[in-house]
Amino acid sequence: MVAAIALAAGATGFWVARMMPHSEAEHAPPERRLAHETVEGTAAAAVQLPDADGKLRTLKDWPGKWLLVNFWATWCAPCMHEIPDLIAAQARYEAQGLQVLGIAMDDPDAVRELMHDKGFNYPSLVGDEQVQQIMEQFGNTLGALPYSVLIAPDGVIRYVELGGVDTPKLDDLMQRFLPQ
Amino acid sequence: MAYQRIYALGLMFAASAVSAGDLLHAQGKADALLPVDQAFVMQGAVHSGHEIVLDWTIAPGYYLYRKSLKITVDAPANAPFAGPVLPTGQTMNDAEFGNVEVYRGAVQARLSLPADAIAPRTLRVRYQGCADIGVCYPPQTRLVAVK
Repeated sequence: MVAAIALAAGATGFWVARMMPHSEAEHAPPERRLAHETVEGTAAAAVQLPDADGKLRTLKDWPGKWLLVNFWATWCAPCMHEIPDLIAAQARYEAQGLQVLGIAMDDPDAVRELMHDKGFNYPSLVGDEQVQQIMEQFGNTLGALPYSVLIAPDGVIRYVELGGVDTPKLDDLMQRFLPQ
Repeated sequence: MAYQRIYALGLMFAASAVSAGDLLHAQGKADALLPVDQAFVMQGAVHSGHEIVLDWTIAPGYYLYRKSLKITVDAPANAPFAGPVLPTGQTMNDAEFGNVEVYRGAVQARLSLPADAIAPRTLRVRYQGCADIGVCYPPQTRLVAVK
Protein backbone atom coordinates (compact mmCIF):
# COMPACT_ATOMS: atom_id res chain seq x y z
CA MET A 1 0.00 0.00 0.00
CA VAL A 2 2.74 2.42 1.03
CA ALA A 3 4.71 1.49 -2.04
CA ALA A 4 1.69 2.11 -4.24
CA ILE A 5 1.13 5.57 -2.72
CA ALA A 6 4.79 6.40 -3.10
CA LEU A 7 4.78 5.29 -6.71
CA ALA A 8 1.66 7.28 -7.47
CA ALA A 9 3.10 10.41 -5.84
CA GLY A 10 6.32 9.95 -7.73
CA ALA A 11 4.53 9.48 -11.01
CA THR A 12 2.42 12.57 -10.35
CA GLY A 13 5.46 14.62 -9.50
CA PHE A 14 7.24 13.36 -12.59
CA TRP A 15 4.31 14.10 -14.89
CA VAL A 16 3.63 17.56 -13.48
CA ALA A 17 7.29 18.49 -13.46
CA ARG A 18 7.72 17.40 -17.05
CA MET A 19 4.62 19.17 -18.26
CA MET A 20 4.53 22.46 -16.37
CA PRO A 21 7.89 23.94 -17.30
CA HIS A 22 7.09 23.55 -20.98
CA SER A 23 3.85 25.39 -20.44
CA GLU A 24 5.69 28.07 -18.49
CA ALA A 25 8.41 28.31 -21.12
CA GLU A 26 5.84 29.01 -23.80
CA HIS A 27 4.85 32.16 -21.95
CA ALA A 28 8.34 33.21 -20.97
CA PRO A 29 10.03 36.19 -22.65
CA PRO A 30 12.01 35.11 -25.72
CA GLU A 31 15.35 35.54 -24.00
CA ARG A 32 14.33 33.07 -21.29
CA ARG A 33 13.14 30.40 -23.70
CA LEU A 34 15.79 27.85 -24.26
CA ALA A 35 16.05 26.02 -27.51
CA HIS A 36 17.68 23.07 -25.75
CA GLU A 37 14.23 21.84 -24.81
CA THR A 38 13.36 21.42 -28.45
CA VAL A 39 16.51 19.91 -29.98
CA GLU A 40 16.03 16.47 -28.46
CA GLY A 41 14.71 14.24 -31.21
CA THR A 42 16.11 16.41 -34.00
CA ALA A 43 19.06 15.76 -36.29
CA ALA A 44 22.41 17.00 -34.98
CA ALA A 45 23.89 19.91 -36.89
CA ALA A 46 27.01 19.38 -38.95
CA VAL A 47 30.26 20.14 -37.15
CA GLN A 48 33.60 20.80 -38.76
CA LEU A 49 36.40 21.90 -36.47
CA PRO A 50 40.08 21.11 -35.97
CA ASP A 51 41.04 18.79 -33.16
CA ALA A 52 43.69 19.73 -30.61
CA ASP A 53 46.39 18.68 -33.08
CA GLY A 54 44.97 20.81 -35.86
CA LYS A 55 43.40 18.02 -37.92
CA LEU A 56 40.00 18.96 -39.34
CA ARG A 57 37.29 16.64 -38.04
CA THR A 58 33.53 16.17 -38.40
CA LEU A 59 31.03 14.12 -36.40
CA LYS A 60 31.01 11.61 -39.26
CA ASP A 61 34.53 10.62 -38.25
CA TRP A 62 32.92 8.42 -35.57
CA PRO A 63 30.36 6.37 -37.53
CA GLY A 64 28.13 3.99 -35.60
CA LYS A 65 28.97 5.56 -32.25
CA TRP A 66 26.85 7.12 -29.58
CA LEU A 67 28.55 10.51 -29.41
CA LEU A 68 28.57 12.36 -26.12
CA VAL A 69 29.59 15.82 -27.27
CA ASN A 70 30.86 17.86 -24.35
CA PHE A 71 31.32 21.60 -24.82
CA TRP A 72 33.97 22.87 -22.42
CA ALA A 73 36.85 25.30 -21.81
CA THR A 74 39.93 25.47 -19.64
CA TRP A 75 38.64 28.67 -17.97
CA CYS A 76 35.41 26.95 -16.92
CA ALA A 77 35.67 25.44 -13.44
CA PRO A 78 32.53 23.27 -13.71
CA CYS A 79 33.96 21.91 -16.96
CA MET A 80 37.15 20.93 -15.18
CA HIS A 81 35.21 19.18 -12.45
CA GLU A 82 33.39 16.84 -14.83
CA ILE A 83 36.40 15.76 -16.89
CA PRO A 84 37.37 12.80 -14.66
CA ASP A 85 33.79 11.51 -14.91
CA LEU A 86 33.83 11.85 -18.69
CA ILE A 87 37.15 10.01 -18.84
CA ALA A 88 35.67 7.24 -16.69
CA ALA A 89 32.57 7.04 -18.89
CA GLN A 90 34.69 6.75 -22.03
CA ALA A 91 36.65 3.89 -20.49
CA ARG A 92 33.60 2.13 -19.11
CA TYR A 93 31.20 2.44 -22.04
CA GLU A 94 33.46 2.44 -25.08
CA ALA A 95 32.73 -1.23 -25.72
CA GLN A 96 29.02 -0.45 -25.78
CA GLY A 97 29.53 2.14 -28.49
CA LEU A 98 30.11 5.36 -26.58
CA GLN A 99 32.50 7.97 -27.89
CA VAL A 100 33.00 11.07 -25.77
CA LEU A 101 33.98 14.04 -27.91
CA GLY A 102 35.02 17.36 -26.41
CA ILE A 103 34.49 20.65 -28.19
CA ALA A 104 36.52 23.35 -26.50
CA MET A 105 35.86 27.07 -26.78
CA ASP A 106 39.45 27.90 -26.12
CA ASP A 107 43.01 28.34 -27.29
CA PRO A 108 44.44 25.17 -28.90
CA ASP A 109 47.66 25.32 -26.88
CA ALA A 110 45.76 25.57 -23.59
CA VAL A 111 43.51 22.69 -24.63
CA ARG A 112 46.41 20.48 -25.67
CA GLU A 113 48.25 21.10 -22.40
CA LEU A 114 45.20 20.44 -20.27
CA MET A 115 44.29 17.28 -22.17
CA HIS A 116 47.78 15.99 -21.46
CA ASP A 117 47.67 16.98 -17.79
CA LYS A 118 44.23 15.45 -17.21
CA GLY A 119 44.96 12.28 -19.17
CA PHE A 120 42.16 12.60 -21.70
CA ASN A 121 41.19 9.28 -23.28
CA TYR A 122 38.88 10.99 -25.75
CA PRO A 123 39.52 13.62 -28.43
CA SER A 124 38.56 17.25 -28.35
CA LEU A 125 37.88 19.66 -31.15
CA VAL A 126 38.82 23.29 -30.63
CA GLY A 127 37.45 26.62 -31.79
CA ASP A 128 36.42 30.09 -30.70
CA GLU A 129 33.34 31.99 -31.87
CA GLN A 130 32.50 29.10 -34.15
CA VAL A 131 31.99 26.90 -31.09
CA GLN A 132 29.41 29.35 -29.80
CA GLN A 133 27.52 29.08 -33.10
CA ILE A 134 27.67 25.29 -32.98
CA MET A 135 26.37 25.30 -29.41
CA GLU A 136 23.42 27.41 -30.50
CA GLN A 137 22.68 24.90 -33.24
CA PHE A 138 22.70 22.24 -30.55
CA GLY A 139 20.19 24.18 -28.48
CA ASN A 140 22.40 26.16 -26.10
CA THR A 141 21.27 29.69 -26.84
CA LEU A 142 22.81 31.15 -23.68
CA GLY A 143 26.34 30.06 -24.53
CA ALA A 144 27.04 28.81 -21.02
CA LEU A 145 29.36 25.90 -20.28
CA PRO A 146 29.58 23.02 -19.71
CA TYR A 147 27.01 21.67 -22.14
CA SER A 148 26.65 18.06 -23.20
CA VAL A 149 24.73 16.52 -26.07
CA LEU A 150 24.14 12.80 -26.59
CA ILE A 151 23.80 11.92 -30.27
CA ALA A 152 22.63 8.49 -31.41
CA PRO A 153 24.38 6.61 -34.24
CA ASP A 154 21.61 7.76 -36.58
CA GLY A 155 22.60 11.37 -35.94
CA VAL A 156 19.57 12.23 -33.80
CA ILE A 157 20.03 14.20 -30.57
CA ARG A 158 18.67 12.13 -27.72
CA TYR A 159 19.63 14.16 -24.67
CA VAL A 160 21.10 17.52 -23.73
CA GLU A 161 22.43 18.76 -20.42
CA LEU A 162 23.39 22.28 -19.42
CA GLY A 163 25.79 22.17 -16.50
CA GLY A 164 28.11 19.50 -15.23
CA VAL A 165 27.55 15.79 -15.46
CA ASP A 166 28.86 13.28 -12.94
CA THR A 167 29.30 9.54 -12.93
CA PRO A 168 25.83 8.65 -11.53
CA LYS A 169 24.19 10.79 -14.17
CA LEU A 170 26.38 9.38 -16.94
CA ASP A 171 25.69 5.83 -15.76
CA ASP A 172 21.98 6.57 -15.83
CA LEU A 173 22.21 7.99 -19.34
CA MET A 174 24.26 5.10 -20.66
CA GLN A 175 21.89 2.55 -19.16
CA ARG A 176 18.95 4.32 -20.73
CA PHE A 177 20.36 4.79 -24.18
CA LEU A 178 23.25 2.47 -24.96
CA PRO A 179 22.60 -1.11 -26.10
CA GLN A 180 23.05 -3.38 -23.10
CA MET B 1 5.15 27.29 -7.09
CA ALA B 2 2.67 24.49 -6.63
CA TYR B 3 4.07 22.27 -9.30
CA GLN B 4 7.52 22.52 -7.74
CA ARG B 5 6.15 21.33 -4.42
CA ILE B 6 4.37 18.44 -6.09
CA TYR B 7 7.51 17.67 -8.00
CA ALA B 8 9.55 17.67 -4.78
CA LEU B 9 7.02 15.39 -3.11
CA GLY B 10 7.12 13.02 -6.01
CA LEU B 11 10.88 12.92 -5.86
CA MET B 12 10.84 12.22 -2.13
CA PHE B 13 8.61 9.21 -2.56
CA ALA B 14 9.93 7.84 -5.78
CA ALA B 15 13.58 8.78 -5.97
CA SER B 16 14.46 5.25 -6.89
CA ALA B 17 11.87 5.05 -9.63
CA VAL B 18 13.01 8.01 -11.71
CA SER B 19 16.27 9.83 -12.04
CA ALA B 20 16.46 13.27 -10.49
CA GLY B 21 19.03 14.14 -13.11
CA ASP B 22 16.56 13.35 -15.84
CA LEU B 23 13.87 15.45 -14.23
CA LEU B 24 16.13 18.41 -13.81
CA HIS B 25 18.10 18.35 -16.99
CA ALA B 26 15.78 20.56 -18.98
CA GLN B 27 14.57 22.61 -16.07
CA GLY B 28 16.21 23.87 -12.83
CA LYS B 29 19.59 25.06 -14.01
CA ALA B 30 18.78 26.02 -17.54
CA ASP B 31 15.45 27.70 -17.04
CA ALA B 32 16.80 29.76 -14.16
CA LEU B 33 19.80 30.98 -16.10
CA LEU B 34 20.04 34.56 -17.28
CA PRO B 35 21.52 35.70 -20.57
CA VAL B 36 25.03 36.95 -19.93
CA ASP B 37 24.14 40.63 -20.36
CA GLN B 38 21.44 40.31 -17.72
CA ALA B 39 23.70 38.38 -15.37
CA PHE B 40 26.48 40.98 -15.65
CA VAL B 41 25.06 44.40 -16.48
CA MET B 42 27.65 46.94 -17.58
CA GLN B 43 26.53 50.41 -16.56
CA GLY B 44 28.96 52.15 -18.89
CA ALA B 45 32.12 54.21 -18.51
CA VAL B 46 31.92 57.73 -17.12
CA HIS B 47 34.71 60.30 -17.41
CA SER B 48 34.85 62.63 -14.44
CA GLY B 49 37.84 64.80 -13.63
CA HIS B 50 41.00 62.73 -13.90
CA GLU B 51 39.39 59.35 -13.89
CA ILE B 52 37.05 57.03 -15.74
CA VAL B 53 34.70 54.88 -13.70
CA LEU B 54 33.12 51.67 -14.94
CA ASP B 55 30.35 49.93 -13.05
CA TRP B 56 28.80 46.50 -13.26
CA THR B 57 25.70 45.21 -11.56
CA ILE B 58 25.87 41.48 -10.96
CA ALA B 59 22.66 39.49 -10.55
CA PRO B 60 22.23 37.41 -7.38
CA GLY B 61 23.72 33.94 -7.84
CA TYR B 62 26.34 35.11 -10.33
CA TYR B 63 29.92 36.25 -9.95
CA LEU B 64 32.72 37.81 -11.98
CA TYR B 65 36.35 36.76 -11.71
CA ARG B 66 38.64 39.62 -10.71
CA LYS B 67 41.56 38.23 -12.69
CA SER B 68 39.45 38.18 -15.85
CA LEU B 69 38.47 41.83 -15.71
CA LYS B 70 40.71 43.63 -18.20
CA ILE B 71 40.43 47.11 -19.65
CA THR B 72 42.43 48.55 -22.54
CA VAL B 73 42.08 51.64 -24.69
CA ASP B 74 40.48 51.14 -28.06
CA ALA B 75 40.52 54.75 -29.27
CA PRO B 76 42.47 56.85 -29.50
CA ALA B 77 45.04 54.10 -29.36
CA ASN B 78 47.68 56.22 -27.64
CA ALA B 79 45.45 57.57 -24.87
CA PRO B 80 47.21 56.80 -21.60
CA PHE B 81 45.65 55.72 -18.35
CA ALA B 82 46.67 53.95 -15.16
CA GLY B 83 44.81 51.02 -13.70
CA PRO B 84 42.28 49.69 -13.54
CA VAL B 85 42.05 49.92 -9.80
CA LEU B 86 39.75 47.15 -8.65
CA PRO B 87 38.32 46.54 -5.19
CA THR B 88 39.20 43.48 -3.20
CA GLY B 89 36.79 40.72 -4.06
CA GLN B 90 35.44 37.78 -2.13
CA THR B 91 37.73 34.79 -1.91
CA MET B 92 36.21 31.67 -3.36
CA ASN B 93 37.86 28.31 -3.07
CA ASP B 94 37.58 26.23 -6.18
CA ALA B 95 38.69 22.63 -6.23
CA GLU B 96 40.31 23.16 -9.62
CA PHE B 97 41.60 26.72 -9.54
CA GLY B 98 42.31 27.13 -5.81
CA ASN B 99 41.52 30.46 -4.12
CA VAL B 100 40.15 32.93 -6.61
CA GLU B 101 38.81 36.44 -6.09
CA VAL B 102 35.30 37.10 -7.31
CA TYR B 103 32.82 39.96 -7.32
CA ARG B 104 29.18 39.62 -6.41
CA GLY B 105 26.42 42.20 -6.42
CA ALA B 106 28.39 45.06 -7.95
CA VAL B 107 31.90 46.08 -8.87
CA GLN B 108 33.50 49.33 -9.88
CA ALA B 109 36.72 49.75 -11.84
CA ARG B 110 38.60 53.07 -11.82
CA LEU B 111 41.08 54.30 -14.39
CA SER B 112 43.34 57.25 -13.60
CA LEU B 113 44.05 59.77 -16.38
CA PRO B 114 47.13 61.98 -16.58
CA ALA B 115 46.22 65.64 -16.18
CA ASP B 116 47.34 66.84 -19.58
CA ALA B 117 46.69 63.77 -21.71
CA ILE B 118 44.05 62.89 -24.27
CA ALA B 119 41.24 60.97 -22.62
CA PRO B 120 40.14 57.62 -24.10
CA ARG B 121 36.94 57.80 -26.12
CA THR B 122 36.40 54.06 -26.37
CA LEU B 123 37.54 51.31 -24.06
CA ARG B 124 37.83 47.61 -24.76
CA VAL B 125 36.52 45.80 -21.70
CA ARG B 126 36.85 42.08 -21.09
CA TYR B 127 35.28 40.11 -18.27
CA GLN B 128 34.20 36.59 -17.47
CA GLY B 129 31.93 35.09 -14.88
CA CYS B 130 29.86 32.15 -13.79
CA ALA B 131 26.62 31.21 -12.08
CA ASP B 132 26.45 29.44 -8.74
CA ILE B 133 24.30 26.72 -10.28
CA GLY B 134 27.45 25.45 -11.98
CA VAL B 135 27.87 27.00 -15.38
CA CYS B 136 30.22 29.64 -16.74
CA TYR B 137 29.85 32.16 -19.52
CA PRO B 138 32.54 32.65 -22.15
CA PRO B 139 34.79 35.70 -21.78
CA GLN B 140 32.92 38.77 -22.90
CA THR B 141 34.55 41.64 -24.77
CA ARG B 142 32.72 44.95 -25.10
CA LEU B 143 33.66 48.23 -26.76
CA VAL B 144 32.46 50.87 -24.35
CA ALA B 145 32.09 54.55 -25.23
CA VAL B 146 33.33 56.86 -22.50
CA LYS B 147 30.71 59.42 -21.53
